[in-house]
Amino acid sequence: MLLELEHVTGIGKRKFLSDISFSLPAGYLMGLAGKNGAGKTTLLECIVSRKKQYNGIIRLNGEDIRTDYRKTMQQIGFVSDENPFLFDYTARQNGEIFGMAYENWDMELFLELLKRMDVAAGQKVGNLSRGQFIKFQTAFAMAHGSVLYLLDEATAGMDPVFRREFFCILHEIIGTEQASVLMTSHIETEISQKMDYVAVLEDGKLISFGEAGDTL
Amino acid sequence: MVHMREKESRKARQQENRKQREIIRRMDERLVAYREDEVLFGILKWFYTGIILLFLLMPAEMCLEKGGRSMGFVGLMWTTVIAPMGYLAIYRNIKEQGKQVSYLKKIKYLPLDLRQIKLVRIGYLAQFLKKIVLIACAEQLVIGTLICGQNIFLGIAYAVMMAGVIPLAWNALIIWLEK
Repeated sequence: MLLELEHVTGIGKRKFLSDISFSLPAGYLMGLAGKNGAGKTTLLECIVSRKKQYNGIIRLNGEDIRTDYRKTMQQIGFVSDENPFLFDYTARQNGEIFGMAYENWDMELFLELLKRMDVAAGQKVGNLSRGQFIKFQTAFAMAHGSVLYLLDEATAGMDPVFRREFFCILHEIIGTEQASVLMTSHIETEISQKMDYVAVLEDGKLISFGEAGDTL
Repeated sequence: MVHMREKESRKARQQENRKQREIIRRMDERLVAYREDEVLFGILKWFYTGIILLFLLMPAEMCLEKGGRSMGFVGLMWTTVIAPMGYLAIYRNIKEQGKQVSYLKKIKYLPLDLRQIKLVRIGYLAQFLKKIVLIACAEQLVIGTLICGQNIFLGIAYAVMMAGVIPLAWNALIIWLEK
């Protein structure tokens, strides 16, 4: 299993989450569904945050993510509006500076992906539209060879054409890189049609989990 | 056997930490090179250094006497609080849309060890203060000992404490506690 959650219960400001267990194999798209405030973003934060404010176990490729934050984050591509890039620096400069932190960083691939996704490498990240910012982050995650992509409401507010294009990119990721995508969304049709697995959260609890067709 | 394994894993960890510090230094270099206010920080660095050295021109004996204590205190505040904070500002904050944002917040999801980042910052400060201590010792020797006839050890101890030990200890603590 690529990602496994065992009885994850939040503590501190994440105490809202209660006893969440599911697993995601490599090569699949998984939707994390639920209304606003159901705990979707909080669950993703449990995985990417330095402070591990939860009880239970989260494993990535069989290894507890608490043991080595550096190693965990080498493998994760986090795409979120809250992701703090250098907004007064260009997309290329962000890649040149932050890319250094990753062992498998490929600057050429990053520039190629930006070009393919129609994001100007010379534009300041703070001036990118929301859709472009999401594309920029996806390119960044792909360029450092992530195996797990965590996408927080990435398609919210996107027009249908772009959304289709975005899902083509995601399918490419899981197809060619043997990676998986865990994506939060509250658009039900998107989850039922595009995802392989679905986990539904309500008030911080997992109320159902399974293959997309059976769950929704 | 267990002891050997422990030793090996410690060695591997140390090596990994060294590699991390090298990455952080290279990231800092690039970050500074792309900053639009890099020149301003360069000028400020010389300004801070100049004022420190002006304060340390005063012989230690004079600063420790009743009449010179207030001057010594102002000098200590400058070398300990104002100058190091100004010197490190280029690495600690990023100007973004007119606001200063903590660099640690910017890298919160990157695969970097916060402890190593802090050690690198402390290292920058130590390098900066080391040069100042050397010049301050020379100042104390020439002005304090040769011209005013003060005890040579008092002058050197004063320079080391004022420009080295106290500022480094205080700022290392501030950097270490930063979240």
